[in-house]
Amino acid sequence: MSVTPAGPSFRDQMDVDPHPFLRKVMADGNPVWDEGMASWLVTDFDDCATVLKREDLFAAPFARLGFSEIWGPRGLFMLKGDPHRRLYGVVRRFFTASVVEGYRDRFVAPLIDERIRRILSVGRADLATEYADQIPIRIIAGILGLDWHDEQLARDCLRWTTALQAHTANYMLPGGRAEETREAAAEGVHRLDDVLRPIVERPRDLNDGSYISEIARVGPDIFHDWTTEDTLDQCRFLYVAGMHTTSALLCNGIHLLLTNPDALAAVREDPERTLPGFVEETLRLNPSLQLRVRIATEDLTLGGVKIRADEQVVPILAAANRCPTRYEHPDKIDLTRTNLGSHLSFNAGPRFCGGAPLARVEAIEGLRALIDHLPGLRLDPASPPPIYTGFVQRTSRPLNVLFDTAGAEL
Amino acid sequence: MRVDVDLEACDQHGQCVLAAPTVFRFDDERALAFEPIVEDVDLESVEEAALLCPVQAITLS
Repeated sequence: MSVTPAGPSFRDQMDVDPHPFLRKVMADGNPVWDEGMASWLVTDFDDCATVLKREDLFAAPFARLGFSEIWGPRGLFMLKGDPHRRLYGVVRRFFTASVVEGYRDRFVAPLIDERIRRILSVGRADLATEYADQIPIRIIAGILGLDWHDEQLARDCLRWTTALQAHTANYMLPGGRAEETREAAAEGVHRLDDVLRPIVERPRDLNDGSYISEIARVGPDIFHDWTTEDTLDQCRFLYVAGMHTTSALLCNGIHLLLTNPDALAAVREDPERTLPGFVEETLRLNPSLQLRVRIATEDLTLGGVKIRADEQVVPILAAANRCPTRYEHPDKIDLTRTNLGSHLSFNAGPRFCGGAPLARVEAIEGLRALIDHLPGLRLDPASPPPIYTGFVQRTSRPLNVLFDTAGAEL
Repeated sequence: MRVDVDLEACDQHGQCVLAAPTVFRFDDERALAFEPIVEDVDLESVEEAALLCPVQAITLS
């Protein structure tokens, strides 16, 4: 079997650009055992897709990792098979392309305009903290029926969600560092639930078509002893599913746009036509989640390598998405690819991102607003450059930019 | 009801096969096969399959 040398491990690639290391792993074979990760690293596109699609052979590890303490015993993370599919179907209904079109006008466009308005006259901003982080948190509020205009509420929810997210990422870190973030995450759950519980418990017409009503209506069909707490868990789930993942997509897109002059020129020339493809290339090149974690359920063979039951298998999306047999000049942005959008960044199989259509709209509208309203947008040469930073989840930060205030308008 | 699948778009995620096994199945090469006309009894599961498809390749008419 191929084994990475005892020294270098993928886990040491935290907060540095992972791609040079991943190119080496891909050259070493597939899959490759990584001692530091105690995992098989899978980098071939088709093998990664197989791992994600075949949950019967490669089980999601969330129950084993202890996700139920923050995402609930019947949160989508914890379920599998039939109950998972049924509950996922309820959630998915709120994020189909046609439903998302309604969100575009109701919250996405107006709340993006509001963020632009706040930086317009300043001529500089950190677009990660002042822009990308501020958009998805308010959109989730809108979907849950919270007041997305409430600035204090948005700031609080962002802080609590960040604590939950950090803890979730630490769970998945090889060796685990969940102890460091457990207390802050528990506090985040508690505070977020204080906000959500009154809304979930409010008397409601279960046929009013809202997210909370649908969950409360269908939940008992799936589990006869469904409770309000279970409904609450599905609300909290939207924050992990749609908050940092989407703000990372926006950050990673801004980073690639401002460091690739050809792509920037093409997008400026015709945003309508080019932005959807540019967002797909962002997802492919620098996914918000660079890896997933799975456990082999039986002895099996993957990529010609024997894997034993219970061994940890890590499909690395950031590598698979650059598979040279699948993508010509894989490290380059190419808006003319015929397979734009065929990447693994929204997962594959039963846990495919149900909110993908919304994430795409948020990213397209978020980038378009910057191009439309902030003339001369560029990275601030006096600030540290953005790095695709983190580990399980990766975001390009900081994004200190300058733009011309003359001509900047909504 | 008539079922159409855009087989160019189909990425073999397998959600339809799980949701509506009487209508959708994989052949030996894991290519998708399906019944183009479905009876009322399968309606609900086929609608679920269309909803779950990650690439929205299934159309019902």
